[in-house]
Amino acid sequence: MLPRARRRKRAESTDIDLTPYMNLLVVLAPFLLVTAVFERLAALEIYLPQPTPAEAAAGAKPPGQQEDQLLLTISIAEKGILVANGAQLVALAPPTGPNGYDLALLSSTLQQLKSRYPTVDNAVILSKGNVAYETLVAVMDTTREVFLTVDGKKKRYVLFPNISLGEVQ
Amino acid sequence: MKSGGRLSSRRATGGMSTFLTLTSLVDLFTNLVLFLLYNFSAEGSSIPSAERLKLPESLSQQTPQTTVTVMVTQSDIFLGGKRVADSAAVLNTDELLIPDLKKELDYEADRGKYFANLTKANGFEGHITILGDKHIPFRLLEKVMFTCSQAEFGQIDLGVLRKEVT
Repeated sequence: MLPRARRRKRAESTDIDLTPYMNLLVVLAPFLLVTAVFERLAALEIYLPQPTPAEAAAGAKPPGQQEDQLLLTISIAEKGILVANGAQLVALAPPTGPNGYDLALLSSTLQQLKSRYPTVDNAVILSKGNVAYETLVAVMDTTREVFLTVDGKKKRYVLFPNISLGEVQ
Repeated sequence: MKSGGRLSSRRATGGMSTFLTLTSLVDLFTNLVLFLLYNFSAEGSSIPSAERLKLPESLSQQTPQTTVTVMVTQSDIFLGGKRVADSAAVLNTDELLIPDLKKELDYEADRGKYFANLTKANGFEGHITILGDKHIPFRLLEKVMFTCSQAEFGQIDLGVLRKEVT
């Protein structure tokens, strides 16, 4: 009896007893499924347009002295997104649909501006009163950063992270 | 005939008991658990799942702080779960300040200052998060932001859904 049983056991393939592991997984999987968060909240920090004394002084300077300054203003209007440096118009990103704009063009324009003025971090986004919040957030995203593929890897480049919001009539 | 077939099949396996092959199930569970562990966040969801509040998506990676939240939908404005104003009525006025919201925010600011005083922590910084529906017009958002800044809540964050880079 005994030798026979031993011989049969050797012939069988011996499996690992998975029961304790299965118990663990069966408990863990429902627990994690219940607590899973698929939509994660993030925050977009904005800077209220408060003219500080330094800015007010800069604005009072004669125009010749601030020639090489960038006063980036992005206006969202019906005819497109206007990118301006002070009073000088840099580019116009036309609308592509009822609620969309050519954000790729906006992004490439901002990248050129950032490479010309690498120290500037501030931007002002002016919107019409009826611009949808979604559009505004998309433009803010485009203004804050850009993701470029370098050597097959996505890399994040910061453009103009300090955004102030305002309304244009 | 049926039982005979089963009997004979048992005899064919040599009388040993057959085990369920759990390998594929274990694989599946392992993958599921690893995926869920990867997505696990201890904070839990702080997004109020209101039907009329669809937050816009953003690439922002910044984690929101737990602060006073103002919820702005197309019909109502809520402050911390309490309805304080009607969006349409707010939009119809030319006034930038929303008086009802201002009153509630002043109370929140007083409370925040009182607690900051008690705990001797960093002090009252005036952080506030605005959760806005993605279809609200900018005019409404601007009024809410203006009211917040008037009520000493100067550090405004906009709540958005995190979107992965594609």
